[in-house]
Amino acid sequence: MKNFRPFPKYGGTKTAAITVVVGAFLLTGCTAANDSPSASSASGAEILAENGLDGLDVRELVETLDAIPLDERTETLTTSITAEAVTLTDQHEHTAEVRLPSNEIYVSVAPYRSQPHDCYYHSPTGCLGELRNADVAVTVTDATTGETIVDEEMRTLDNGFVGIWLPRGIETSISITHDGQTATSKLSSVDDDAQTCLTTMRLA
Amino acid sequence: MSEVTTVDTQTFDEVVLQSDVPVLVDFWAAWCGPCRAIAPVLDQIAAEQDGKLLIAKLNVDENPDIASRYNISSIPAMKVFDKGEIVREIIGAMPKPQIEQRLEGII
Repeated sequence: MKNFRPFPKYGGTKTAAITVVVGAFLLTGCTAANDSPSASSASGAEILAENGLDGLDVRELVETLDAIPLDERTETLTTSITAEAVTLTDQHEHTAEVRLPSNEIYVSVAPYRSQPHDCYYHSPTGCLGELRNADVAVTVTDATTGETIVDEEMRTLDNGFVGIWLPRGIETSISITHDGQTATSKLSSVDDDAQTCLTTMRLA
Repeated sequence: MSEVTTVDTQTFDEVVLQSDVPVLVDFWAAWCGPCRAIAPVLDQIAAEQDGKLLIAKLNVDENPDIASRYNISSIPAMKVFDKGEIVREIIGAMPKPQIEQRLEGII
């Protein structure tokens, strides 16, 4: 989903995020990764170039989009991340779709204290979490094997999210701690349409 | 078989607020990729829920007054109206099962 201020005369919102989703419904399974713009999108390379995103591999692209400061969001670009691809759409309805790596997905998590929002597919340029630029401790554990996948001190981005690359095909438990408060949730990377936006972790 | 209905400032009150059945209004814009992505999902739901749920689309760029009236600050945004009142809100794109889950009790 993308958040925008008052509707521009015509031109979207770079929303935030959310939304994004576009590619979500295109997914057909874990296929080989291709970190170039979709061949079906002749305008894909143009969108990336216009937004200074050309030359990035898919991981860099995703992380760069997610790290865009709120005051640098534009009204002309929307983005969405599914388990399969990151999709960018501009005000001209041009689309670039870049597939995620075949072995991992990107999940954005926004812990909160009082103000959750509904989200399934993360929109780097549209989503807004409550806890911005905050130090958090993140632990992700494989629910089957008990293996620790992530155990890091992280800082939420300006959009209030922390981004986590997860191996595909596993069920995990994620725990986030901030300022003495902790939230825990299940997190899955099993399905082709797995959730890429987790906004239900209330710190308590 | 029901199809998605397009509403605008002129028809919103009659089609949505005065409807005899619940109405899911999809607030969208042409430049919104996620909005385009969920369109076929809403088409399916409209067909499957014929007579139980009406699905309407409202272009927020062309109808900013309605979007403002309902505080639409991000899209896609879907609001379900029943007897003129908002009874459910769905923010952002998501797969069909997740949308249907959020419509439980309505469909």
